[in-house]
Amino acid sequence: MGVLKVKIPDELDAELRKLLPAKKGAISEFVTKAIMEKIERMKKDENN
Amino acid sequence: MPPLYCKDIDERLLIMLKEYALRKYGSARYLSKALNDILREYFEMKKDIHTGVDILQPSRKINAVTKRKIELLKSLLLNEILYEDILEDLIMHLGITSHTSIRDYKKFLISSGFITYVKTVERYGKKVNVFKVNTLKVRSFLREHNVDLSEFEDLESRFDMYEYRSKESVRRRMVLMEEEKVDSNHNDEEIYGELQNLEDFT
Repeated sequence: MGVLKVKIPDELDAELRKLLPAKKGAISEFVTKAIMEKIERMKKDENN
Repeated sequence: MPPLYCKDIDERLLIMLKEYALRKYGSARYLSKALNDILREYFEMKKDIHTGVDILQPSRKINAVTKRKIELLKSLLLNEILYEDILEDLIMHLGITSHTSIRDYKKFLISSGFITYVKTVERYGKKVNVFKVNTLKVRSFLREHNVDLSEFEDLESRFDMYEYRSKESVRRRMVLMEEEKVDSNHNDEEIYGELQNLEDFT
């Protein structure tokens, strides 16, 4: 497992915190899902 | 800009993220930019599911949930006063059958201010909530999001549709009541009386 450290704009940070539950690992889980789904969408687009 | 730390990210995903950054920005070092794109896109999708309202932005792709919500909002324009059971019928018309989803759609309408609770009445022996549809709000919202409302401009067709939906609702309830072997003659009068009341009410 790796560590990802990036900078995000204030408003995106605020929105994320508003949407996600305040529990350990919620952001990592969200980011993982986001990347996975993006990759799937890109694969689909490439196939089309 | 605040930092975002994510532990426990799969190594393969990190490689894929770097590849994406490389493809989009020409360097694998632009991870923040790449992740911002992805998060923003994903966040919008999630927000769509949670609130329902924001998905109606014209620039976004319209998914099945959005289509249902647009259809539901359009059908609200045909009803100024709604019994909760009729509202449930309208939701079910969209192909939604689970109780949880029906409740979610009702919550969406109430929390967004598209319908307002008026009172509770007795209907078919059950207590039913009555809602007022904020047609101005629904109409302006749909217009704002480029939904074609021309079919609602004609008042006559609007009335026909309203009458059709009310009668259709009554018909389906009658079928249900017959199935339950309830005295149909007595209930016919009750139902049509209800329909008349509903029309008087509006």
